[in-house]
Amino acid sequence: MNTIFMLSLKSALREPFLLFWSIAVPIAGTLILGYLVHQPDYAIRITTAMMAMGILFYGLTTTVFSLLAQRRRGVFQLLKVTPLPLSAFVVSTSGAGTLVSLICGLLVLTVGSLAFQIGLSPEALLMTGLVCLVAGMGYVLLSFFVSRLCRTEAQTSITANLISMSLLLLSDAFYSLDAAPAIVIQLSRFNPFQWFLNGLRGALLRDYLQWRFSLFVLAGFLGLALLLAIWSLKANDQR
Amino acid sequence: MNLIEAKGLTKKFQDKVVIKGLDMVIGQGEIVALIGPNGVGKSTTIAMLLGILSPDQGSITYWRTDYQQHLAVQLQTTPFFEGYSARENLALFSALYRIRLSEAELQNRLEACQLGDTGNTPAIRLSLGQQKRLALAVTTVHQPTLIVLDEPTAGLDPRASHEIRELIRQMVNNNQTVLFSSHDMEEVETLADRIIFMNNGQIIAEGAPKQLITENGVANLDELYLKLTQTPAVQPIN
Repeated sequence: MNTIFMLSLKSALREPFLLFWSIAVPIAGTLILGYLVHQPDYAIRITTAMMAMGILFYGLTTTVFSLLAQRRRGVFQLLKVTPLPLSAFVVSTSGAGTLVSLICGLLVLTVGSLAFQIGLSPEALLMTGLVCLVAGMGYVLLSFFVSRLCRTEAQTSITANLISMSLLLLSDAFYSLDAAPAIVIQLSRFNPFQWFLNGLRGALLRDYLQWRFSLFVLAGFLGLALLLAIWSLKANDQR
Repeated sequence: MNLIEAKGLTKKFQDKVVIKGLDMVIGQGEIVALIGPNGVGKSTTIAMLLGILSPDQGSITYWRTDYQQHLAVQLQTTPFFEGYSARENLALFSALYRIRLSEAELQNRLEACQLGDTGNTPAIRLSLGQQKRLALAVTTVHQPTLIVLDEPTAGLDPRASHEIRELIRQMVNNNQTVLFSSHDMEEVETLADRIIFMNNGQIIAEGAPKQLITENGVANLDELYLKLTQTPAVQPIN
């Protein structure tokens, strides 16, 4: 498992999409929007939003293309005839992906906290890291399921974008949902991305109740994503 | 000793029965060729024997319960991990079989299949012949008892095919059992101890190459193939 984890990590860090979508874009977005919008508390909103977006893009979109390529080449079929349990493979590869997404999130947080003087205590950092870890792993595992639904790159692109955009637009990442239609507000309560944001804000603002409850909901999302990932790998490809 | 005994295997995709009550035995130390026209169920049969697909009916018995630890598979599509070098793929496949190879061991294995200089090249950028050799190296990293190869020389030029056949011969010299599918009758004749001929999801002929040629009154396996698949003779264009 250790070899698989290390090799997956090495391969993930070489991925050019990672640098662009999960590090460069969120950092640029944090700085540009942070300096353009002069409102109290917006620095924390934009920093957490960009962190969460970077992790979502890496965990879901970048990973899903890599998984699709592996599935189409027969890697998962081959895994069925090796003695390594599927769960060990999933844990190793998704663990590496999660670690990379955590690094991406912490890089954005570091830039945001330096640019906008957001106070970061070790406790807040630990709480933020834990939320990123649980949410990041949830998105990576969800990508196993999404890659199973698609047969081509075009389908994958559409599906991953539909999911990512829905999660982003049904959340208060960049704007308040106070004036949004009631249905949007209702849907945002079932949106794991919204709970990710709530958890990050709870961690940075030391709102322990919000942080704990968000983490609890995200743990439920992680469990569901794990079940879907295992089902995706066990289901036979029928021609 | 038999490594695999399959009895009455049947497989349906949607409403179409692609494998119809197939019985098959693979004995230790044999090189068995599975041949037949495209779409007759060779790959499906292999997938069922390996446990990738479950048969709708029938049973498969293996020579040991932990057979997966002693089995090697090269499917038609070489399943390298994208973004990984040849060396990293070798290390990763070793890990799948719970084997940890040192850098020196990895290099030795790469050199054994003439890939010593291309260890750091991404596996999917290697030429087709190099990819097939790497595929054999990664699938046999754990010294398996049974090696299953689905069209190992498909799409290769004559030299690359020759190199793959040499690697297969080396495996047999190591007392390993090989089951392979192929459309190249010359390859089948030179490599196989026994041929299993499939058509329409069933076995229609089985035996040693020379025995089948003699029994069917043909000059070679190409003719046998045409006879058994009842391909009409090509008529000259007037």
